[in-house]
Amino acid sequence: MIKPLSMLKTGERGKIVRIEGGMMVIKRLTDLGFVPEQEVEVIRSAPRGPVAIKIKGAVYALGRGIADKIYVEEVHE
Amino acid sequence: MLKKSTSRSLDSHISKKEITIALAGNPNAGKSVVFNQLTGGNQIIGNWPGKTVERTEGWIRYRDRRIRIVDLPGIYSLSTYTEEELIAREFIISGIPDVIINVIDASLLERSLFLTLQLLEMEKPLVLAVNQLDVAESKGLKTDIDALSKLLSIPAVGVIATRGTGLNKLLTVAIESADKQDSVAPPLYGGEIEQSIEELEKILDNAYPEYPVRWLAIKIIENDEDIKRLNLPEEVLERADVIRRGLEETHGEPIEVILSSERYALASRIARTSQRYEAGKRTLLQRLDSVLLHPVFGYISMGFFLFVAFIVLFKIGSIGSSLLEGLFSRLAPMVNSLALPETVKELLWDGLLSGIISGITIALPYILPFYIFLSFLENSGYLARIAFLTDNIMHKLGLHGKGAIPIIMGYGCNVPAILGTRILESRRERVIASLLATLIPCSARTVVILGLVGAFMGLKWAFVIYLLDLVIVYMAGFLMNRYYPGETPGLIMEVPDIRIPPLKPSLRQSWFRIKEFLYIALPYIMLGSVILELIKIFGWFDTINRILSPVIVNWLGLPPITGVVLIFGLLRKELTLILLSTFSGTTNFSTILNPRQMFVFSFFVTLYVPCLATVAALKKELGNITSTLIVIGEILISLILAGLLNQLWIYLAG
Ligand SMILES: Nc1nc2c(ncn2[C@@H]2O[C@H](COP(=O)(O)OP(=O)(O)OP(=O)(O)O)[C@@H](O)[C@H]2O)c(=O)[nH]1
Ligand SMILES: [Mg+2]
Repeated sequence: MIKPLSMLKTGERGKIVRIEGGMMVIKRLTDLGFVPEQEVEVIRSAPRGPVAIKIKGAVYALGRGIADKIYVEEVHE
Repeated sequence: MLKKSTSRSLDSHISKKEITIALAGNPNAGKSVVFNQLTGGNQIIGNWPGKTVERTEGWIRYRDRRIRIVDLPGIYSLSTYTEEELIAREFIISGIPDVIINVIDASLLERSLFLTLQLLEMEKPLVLAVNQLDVAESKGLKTDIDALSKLLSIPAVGVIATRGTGLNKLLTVAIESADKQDSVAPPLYGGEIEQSIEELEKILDNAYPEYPVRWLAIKIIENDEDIKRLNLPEEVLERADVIRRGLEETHGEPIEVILSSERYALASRIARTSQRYEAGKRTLLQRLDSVLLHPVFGYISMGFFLFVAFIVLFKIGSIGSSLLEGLFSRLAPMVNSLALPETVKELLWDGLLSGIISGITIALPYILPFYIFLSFLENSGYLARIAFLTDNIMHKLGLHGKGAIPIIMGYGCNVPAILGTRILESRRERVIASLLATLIPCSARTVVILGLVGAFMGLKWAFVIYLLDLVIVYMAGFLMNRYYPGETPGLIMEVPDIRIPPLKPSLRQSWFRIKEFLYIALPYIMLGSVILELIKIFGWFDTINRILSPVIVNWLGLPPITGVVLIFGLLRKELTLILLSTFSGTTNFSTILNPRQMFVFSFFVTLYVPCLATVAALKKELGNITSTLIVIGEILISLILAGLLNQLWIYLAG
């Protein structure tokens, strides 16, 4: 199922499907490795506020609004 | 922006007497540690992305030759979003560096190589400094430096910058590479993209010999902003549009995403071949980190940690202060016993010596432990956690979590805090963050708050001032967000691993800050004390006091002497307290100020005009109009609030 990254809970993983939003944000994110097919892991997520995402070994803090626009397919182990 | 490259000329293989080496790489890769180690410089280092916000040079000698080393702000790619990133990009593509050292964090190899590939495209001498090998190792990552060097066809040197390991070799290799002007092979991408690049290369032919044609072709396909300024012929642009649309159709993604995916695919291949993951274990620090970022415990631990730090720093400061006082009190009789004329003795003692002594006994005991604490805090990576935790609150102030970092830096000194706002995306954010940073009590103001209110009224009263200040910061941010048109962008920030701060670099950083305090503040203190003494000797006090007394005495309820002292405070805020002590000849402030006056004085010092250096920084970063508005606004607000506080206190005390 495809859903926004912000919907994943702490510890869950997903595979990036697409990113919506302004070109600046998309470009910034792809520069950091948020590209389609890439697997991400949620390090910390709460009902409100930013999320912490691990990708290619690095952790990023993403504001809620940004995590809402990154669509992922949930990955189950 | 794009400048002609100078070193591509034919005679460049003759070794130049002077060489420029640029340090480029991701934020937090360790560029500034490398710079400091090589040049003996004092660039800010710390464990969060975006510390270096200016281009900084240092010169060293190497076998009779002068080598210029340039430390740059960190970038994730050659596309830029914020001011400091633009500074890095401009210098990298300017053609000025004879060689670029790409400092990478070996524990984040794939992400780092994304930039390396872009640097390779420029076809200029490039050397890879594979840094943080110790960190990579502790994560179970085995890096094959030779393999990296082969795969990228550039020299690579393994480095542990904080320990200085590998740096001599790095320098030698970089200079060699600059001398030889090694030709660099750009990386090759997937089928259709290569075809597109080739097609454009043919059209471009060699119309722009100052740029590598392949680089130019890629930039044109990428729709790079700077390339638009080259005024390329219509025909080329049209062709590029067709090519770009073709690629976007086949891939179903915007061109930016296609190229990033392509580069990451290659980076990932190289990383997999040159680095092996052996067993890594979840360390204690990682487990601690899941508490630090926790939506409940994160805040509790933050509050607890900062509160304990506050108490400990105050205790160390006050104990140190009284120890030093006892030590120096033996000096006065010695000076008095000198056989000198009375006026000279007065100038020497009251003017010069007691100024220095007050500076050392009042300021140093608080500043010294505070700076050490700050350096360790910076290098631990906790600041990035605070930024994460405060993202929600910061949004109410028109900022996002990253804005918390320069504001917290303001507790050390407002000047780097204001420069540090360059990591924020919009001017609106920079103005708001700079304004808020100037309202933060820096170490100089901390000296006044702790040394006066803390020491003579008790720690909890000092704490009240800090809390009041935070309320004012919040209100100011809230109002700015409300009335300053514009939106707050979302937070995108790297959160580096939490670490045990490296001992030597952290202590070295504190030492540089303390040295700066000694070199800059002490001369001011001496100058201030001498002038004050002269004013006393010539009897100008009454005139000055008469002019200032409506504000100082009637409105703020302070003794007349504080007026002159507050004027000196424009230079540096700790001068207010130090000069007050030299003037009254005592460090026991309870003999000259009552508790209300102490509190109002400290509160006013905290808020009124930022010191001269801060005003200069504001002017440089935000321009004349904005900085003038901020300064006038802060004078008015501090006068109003401190006055009201005084009146309220008198009223309540009945
Ligand atoms: N363990 C370890 N830590 C390192 C090493 N090199 C750098 N560090 C730490 O990494 C952090 C970042 O180093 P800096 O030199 O400030 O990074 P920078 O690349 O200049 O970062 P920006 O200025 O933000 O772009 C600091 O806390 C350093 O102490 C290393 O080789 N080993
Ligand atoms: Mg740096």
